[in-house]
Amino acid sequence: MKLRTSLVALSVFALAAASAAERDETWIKQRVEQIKDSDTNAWRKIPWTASLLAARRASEREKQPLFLFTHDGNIETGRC
Amino acid sequence: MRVSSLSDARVIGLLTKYFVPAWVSRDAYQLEPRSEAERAELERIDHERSKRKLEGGTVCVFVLDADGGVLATQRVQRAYKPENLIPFLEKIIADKHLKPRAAESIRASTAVPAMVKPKTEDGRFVHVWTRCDQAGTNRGLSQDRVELTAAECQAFMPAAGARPGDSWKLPDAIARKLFQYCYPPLPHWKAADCKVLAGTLKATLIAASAEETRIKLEGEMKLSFPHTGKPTDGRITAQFVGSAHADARKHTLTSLMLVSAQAEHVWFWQGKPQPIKMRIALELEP
Repeated sequence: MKLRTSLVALSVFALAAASAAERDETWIKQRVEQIKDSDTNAWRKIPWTASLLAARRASEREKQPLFLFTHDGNIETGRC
Repeated sequence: MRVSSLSDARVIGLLTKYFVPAWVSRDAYQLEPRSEAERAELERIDHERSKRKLEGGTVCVFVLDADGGVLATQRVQRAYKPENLIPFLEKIIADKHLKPRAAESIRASTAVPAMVKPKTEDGRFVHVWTRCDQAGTNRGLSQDRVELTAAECQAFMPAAGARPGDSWKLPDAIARKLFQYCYPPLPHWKAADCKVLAGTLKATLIAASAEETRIKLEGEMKLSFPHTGKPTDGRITAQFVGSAHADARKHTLTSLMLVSAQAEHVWFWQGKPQPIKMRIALELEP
């Protein structure tokens, strides 16, 4: 009886440990996605040209005005 | 600008439809050095802006005519609000009787994202994202990339003969390398201004089979940013949990994630600490 109780307790413990590990991993994945999923990344949808000179050439060719945004830092890393 | 007006759907719509958009980092931070031709063109634009007594500054919006002449400018102090930038753009569209750009022209001039490869043989990239979501402090999402060498990746693997439950400490240099960019998006942006005061990472073997190795990660860090040696320097503290998977046959990492269980940025205003909750995530590039 004692042996059976111990075995049951052991398997319950093993299951709990396994599900805790799974839950942790699911939680980690969800949290990473939540952090990456920012509503402030929409600026990337703007069809930016590769450089000021490329924009000048396109502007001249299309007879459309050029919109230039100058800044410090690095806009691509979100640090500007 | 990036988080406010440049992420506003109405501004994005106007820029996409009527303008050829470009951005320029004046200090080319973390970017390829600017060509001499581009430097000269930017100088010409600045000079013309100044000559015409239009408003300007380092962070500024310029609209150039198709021949390169400066039509109008708006400083960041006004342009960051969509309610200022939208009428500014609409006036140019109306005054110039602009027609929408052709879809093919937009496609042809849009930059193709550059593929960046690790500098070291079999090196891997880990992306680092940070954000503060509290009202008034939301400056969006930062996204940096850190390269781990093949040897540094191997440090996440258990030693031969390790059993589930066994733990090992990762070299401090790896923890510090990963944590260097775990500061929030702020007006200060230089990673060199950040000092990792403490950083540890511990790995624990969860399960190992002939095919796969599963590892649990735990860590904590303390940063000072910007670090000037003063008691009022910004401080970031965080505790991390994470997981890593490895291909047991190839002995290579197949995934690695670390996320802040809790993280706080403390900055000082008139000598008083101003704590802000933040979130941090790190993930190995596939």
